[in-house]
Amino acid sequence: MRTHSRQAIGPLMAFVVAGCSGPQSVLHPAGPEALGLAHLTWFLFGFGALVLAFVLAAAAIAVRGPERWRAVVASRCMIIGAGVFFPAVSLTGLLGYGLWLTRASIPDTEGREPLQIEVTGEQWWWRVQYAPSTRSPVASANEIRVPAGRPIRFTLQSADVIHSFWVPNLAGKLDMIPGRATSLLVRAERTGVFRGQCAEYCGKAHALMALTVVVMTPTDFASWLENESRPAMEPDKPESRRGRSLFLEAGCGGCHTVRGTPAAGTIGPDLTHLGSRHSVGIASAAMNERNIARFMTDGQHMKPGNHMPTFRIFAAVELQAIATYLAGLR
Amino acid sequence: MNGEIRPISSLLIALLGPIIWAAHFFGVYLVEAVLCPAREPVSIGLVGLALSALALAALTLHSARCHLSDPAGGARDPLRFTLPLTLLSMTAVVWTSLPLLVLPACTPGGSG
Amino acid sequence: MHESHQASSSLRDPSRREEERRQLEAIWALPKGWRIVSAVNNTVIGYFYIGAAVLFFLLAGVLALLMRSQLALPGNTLLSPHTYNQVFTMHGTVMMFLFAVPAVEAMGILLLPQMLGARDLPFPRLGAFAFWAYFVGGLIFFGTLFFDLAPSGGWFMYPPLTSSHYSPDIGADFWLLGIGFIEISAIAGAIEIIVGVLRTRAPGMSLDKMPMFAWTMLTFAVMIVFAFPAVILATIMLELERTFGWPFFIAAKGGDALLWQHLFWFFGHPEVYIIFLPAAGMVSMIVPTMARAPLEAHMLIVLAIIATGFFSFGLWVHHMFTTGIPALSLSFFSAASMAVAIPSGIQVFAWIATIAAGKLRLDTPALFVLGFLFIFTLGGLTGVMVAMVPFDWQAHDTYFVVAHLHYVLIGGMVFPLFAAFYYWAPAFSSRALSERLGRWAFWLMFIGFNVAFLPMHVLGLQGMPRRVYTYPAELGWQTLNFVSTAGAFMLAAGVLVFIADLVCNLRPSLVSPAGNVWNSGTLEWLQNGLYGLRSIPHVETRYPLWQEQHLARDVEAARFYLPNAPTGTREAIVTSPIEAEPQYLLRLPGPGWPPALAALFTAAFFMLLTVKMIAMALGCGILAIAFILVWAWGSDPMPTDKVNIGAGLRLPTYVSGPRSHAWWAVVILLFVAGSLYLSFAFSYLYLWTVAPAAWAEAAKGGVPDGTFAFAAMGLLAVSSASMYAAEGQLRRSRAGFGLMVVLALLTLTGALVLELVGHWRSDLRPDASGYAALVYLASVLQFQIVAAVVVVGCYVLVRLAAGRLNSERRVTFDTLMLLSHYANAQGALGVLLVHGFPRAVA
Repeated sequence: MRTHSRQAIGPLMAFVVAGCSGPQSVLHPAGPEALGLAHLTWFLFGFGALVLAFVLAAAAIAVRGPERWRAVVASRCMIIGAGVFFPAVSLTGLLGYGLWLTRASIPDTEGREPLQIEVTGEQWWWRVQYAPSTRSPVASANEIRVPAGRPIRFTLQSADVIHSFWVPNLAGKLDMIPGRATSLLVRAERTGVFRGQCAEYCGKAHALMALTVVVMTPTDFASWLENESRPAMEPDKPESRRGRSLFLEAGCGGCHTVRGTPAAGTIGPDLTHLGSRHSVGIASAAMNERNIARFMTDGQHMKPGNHMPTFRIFAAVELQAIATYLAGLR
Repeated sequence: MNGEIRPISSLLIALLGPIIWAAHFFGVYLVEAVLCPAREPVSIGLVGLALSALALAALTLHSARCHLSDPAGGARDPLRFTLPLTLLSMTAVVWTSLPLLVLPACTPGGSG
Repeated sequence: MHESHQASSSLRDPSRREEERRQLEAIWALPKGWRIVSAVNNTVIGYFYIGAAVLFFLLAGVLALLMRSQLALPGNTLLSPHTYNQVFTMHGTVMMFLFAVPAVEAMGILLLPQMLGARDLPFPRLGAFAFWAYFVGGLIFFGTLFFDLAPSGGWFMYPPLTSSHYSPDIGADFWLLGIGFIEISAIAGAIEIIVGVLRTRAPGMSLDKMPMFAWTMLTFAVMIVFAFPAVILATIMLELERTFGWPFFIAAKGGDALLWQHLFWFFGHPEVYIIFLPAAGMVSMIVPTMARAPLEAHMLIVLAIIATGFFSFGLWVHHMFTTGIPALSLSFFSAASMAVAIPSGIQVFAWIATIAAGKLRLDTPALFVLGFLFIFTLGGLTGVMVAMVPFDWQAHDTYFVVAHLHYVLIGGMVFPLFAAFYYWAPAFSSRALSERLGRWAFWLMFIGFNVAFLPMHVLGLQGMPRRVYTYPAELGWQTLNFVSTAGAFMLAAGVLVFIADLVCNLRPSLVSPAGNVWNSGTLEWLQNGLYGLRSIPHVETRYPLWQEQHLARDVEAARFYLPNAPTGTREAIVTSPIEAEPQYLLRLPGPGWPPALAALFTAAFFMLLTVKMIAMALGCGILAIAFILVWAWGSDPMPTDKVNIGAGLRLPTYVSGPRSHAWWAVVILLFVAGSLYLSFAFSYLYLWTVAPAAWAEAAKGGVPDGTFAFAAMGLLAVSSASMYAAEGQLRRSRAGFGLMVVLALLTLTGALVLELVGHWRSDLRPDASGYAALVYLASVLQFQIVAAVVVVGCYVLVRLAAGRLNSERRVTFDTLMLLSHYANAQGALGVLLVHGFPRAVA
């Protein structure tokens, strides 16, 4: 009997662990803030399970238990003890734990200068700006890259309706409310690719407003940021050059910016280094030429309700050229 | 009639505990909600704790008065609610005051 | 003791008793056939109400099945995003506003009079109006789904998403006007329940002997009075913003999106306790009967209910933990959320203690109660979890919260409701429901529910947010989603079995119900006819049928009060609120069309306004008011001499002043109006903390010259004085009285006009800023109360002219007087705030 239960625990643990890990999981923390919250979560589950077990045991005894035990459960002592004293004491403890953790979450950069990133929620994408208050901020969209080990201050705003910035592996969520700026201090300890999602219903495509967060080593991040701050790469292939001309002629620059070209629109996402991102349009569409083309001609199917109009004005060759150009913007 | 129960006054007496809790609760919330945007240099924590002390004193006084004048309830407290409600309100006031001891005022709740 | 309250049996010979019974039957007869629509009897209205609530439960349940079907597979295309967004909005809205609150209100209307030993509720036509308004309005609102006109902003309708810019379609207006007016229905019900529970109990049923369900319904109703006005104000504000551009919630113009959240959740949190407490009350009635033992710690439970009601008003910001409000403030609400868990703990252990003290018979009602205990406790524990601020930062707006809220709402309200259906069916139907089908329904529902909602806790922690129409396959959420959908269908199957049971076995009967099959101890199980109890008993204990041996026999033998109808109309005994001593005899109205027609035209008014057919809307509005006046005309009957109500007691039939039930109803209504105005005052002060610049600017030139303020205050003072003088004139001179009333009305209206003129002349326009919008909102609220006072005032003058108002028969004037003094006070507060505050902070 004992060996059976021991054998059962292995797969059970594997199931639990597998259920807990994930690129958008609260229980798979990648930083100290999320770690504290994960510990709290396990503690609360344990506490809750114990209390539930106690209540169920009392109810079971009340319904069909032995006479002596039922007398105890029926007593005034039990009602006051279990219904008043126990909650009073345990909730005081819980409140204390919660307050301690809340206090620990209050931004403390430990003397290190945090990396400033400004994120603005738009219907239904993320406008990102690195080092926003310096002379040369770096604009991007829908994907955020951060260095491991360094505190990062996210300044969160909204351009239209209420959104919420949530990367569960790193920290709890914080709303983006028009008219105010909220601030989130986070530190990532583990490199990897994580997923975030807008957590406040913001309209039609709310379900698809996801975010990729890439945690890199500090050296990798530094070189990435350096590259990101440069204007767009010169297209090397003739097809790409053709694509760039088509891109500019069709007026895409009215909404999109590609630094180093006349395209300077800010209504839509910055495309200067589009090709280096993990996804295009929606987080589950991998970055490749086919998906870029699809987003242009069939965007309403990929992301229903999105504000970019569909562009079916191009011939197949032209479309391919534009896609090649954009995919090459690394 | 002797000892006639007067509904409104006995209602208020019985509910005075929770009413004091409510006044304290909205008081401390108001203090931070108004003084933080106005950036007043007053120590919000101290003001809050002062309000807590006041509330606890009022609650103690009220339950002592009720218990001593009418241990069995009687006309002023016909359902004998005053003492339990006051005790519960005291617990709630103490819990509301704990954050005043632990957390700094006016600091946004930013997770992480 | 018992005997002295009976008439001596030798005075009542059998033939006279039979004659009296026939008289009662004739007076309380129901209209025949389709004319049942004009009935006002609480049992009929209660039945309609509960039927409508169950209908909306099924409709919203189908919406839930649609949602679960869409989410069963990743990337599913069963529902388009727009349709899904409408469906989840309607599911939440219909469940919360058209099912949950009306269902428990309906149980109150159905059960309370019989439980308290009364023949009906004190305002039968108000109850009928409330029902028809809810039913017609609810059907129209639900119908918007079929025309692609349903709202899609979520049941909580956060701006700016729901502003006219981001939600240009008419759906949001349907929500705002439709739900706004259904809240009026809930408030009407609340007024009736408060007066009913406090003033129409059987003689001798002092508060400590009152059944627990009555305590919970009383708390429920008082909570509605203070909580609903906040959301009513918010809906008025959002509708004004959408239609006229008054920027309450637009940050760029000095408004704030969080203002809506504060108002909505100040209502929203008490709302869930409004839903839960009556269900807890039902459990407190069912457990003692099923366990065959009186409820343990009875007064402690009453205390817990009152404490829950009170503390629940301090929790609302826990729905806003992720908005960036200072951590210290958030923690206050975390602490209060913990505090509310203690009263719940008391109730749970008191129920368990009662079961332990007796011997539980495991029939269907008991099964649903045990299911409730499990599910609600689990839900309460996840509630403690999300009450902790840091945990909520992860769990908020995820499927973890979806799981939590369904555990507490389905566990805490639906399961007790089903227990109640199985428990009380024999009291209102000639056949009890089936035990066999009941068990099937229970197990399918219990297992199905847990299979559907338990996995959602995990999904939330795996990162699945709320209100998403789909999710990608690569995140690994599909297995749990699929399992959840299977559970949902199992839960639906259980509900279907219950419906089958209703169809097969429920036979509504007012005259020959199945009876006290459970051997319960409370009054609603006494034999009832069309007229309720054969005679109104004098009650001495908490469980009269257990503890007073011959009560049932004596009630039926007409040995107590009101064995007949001394005034020849429907009657109820009004008793004192604490000791339940008889005070006077209340004459109640019989069936009539005005309440149903008034409700129909009120619904039409709101719906036509939504589709912008203003002229027709106004026409319907006038008709609605006309029918309300017709209905009012028939009330306030002429005072008579004292009558003999049996057992040697003579009571007056007409009372005016603070003892009158009508006075109480108006006072409660004024608390509603006051809560509405306080919500406005809060909004005004709140926006000042958010955008103080507008106030500073106003002090420099935007606020009208001081003369306007003084003049307005002067007019209000004159209005109050005139009304006070009118009261004095009532005894002396009809002409003098009429003159004073007219003067009061004119000065009240004048003060309002002066306010508007003053602001308009200082070039303040309501669409300019949040500050300006609030200034004009004060006048909007003042207009509402002034309009009511003017209508009632004119009505009073007509009654005076028709000879139906004098110094003795003066309840209509008392109503006017109360409304008018309140209107003056509100107006004065408004003037002080709008004129004084900007100057004070400058």
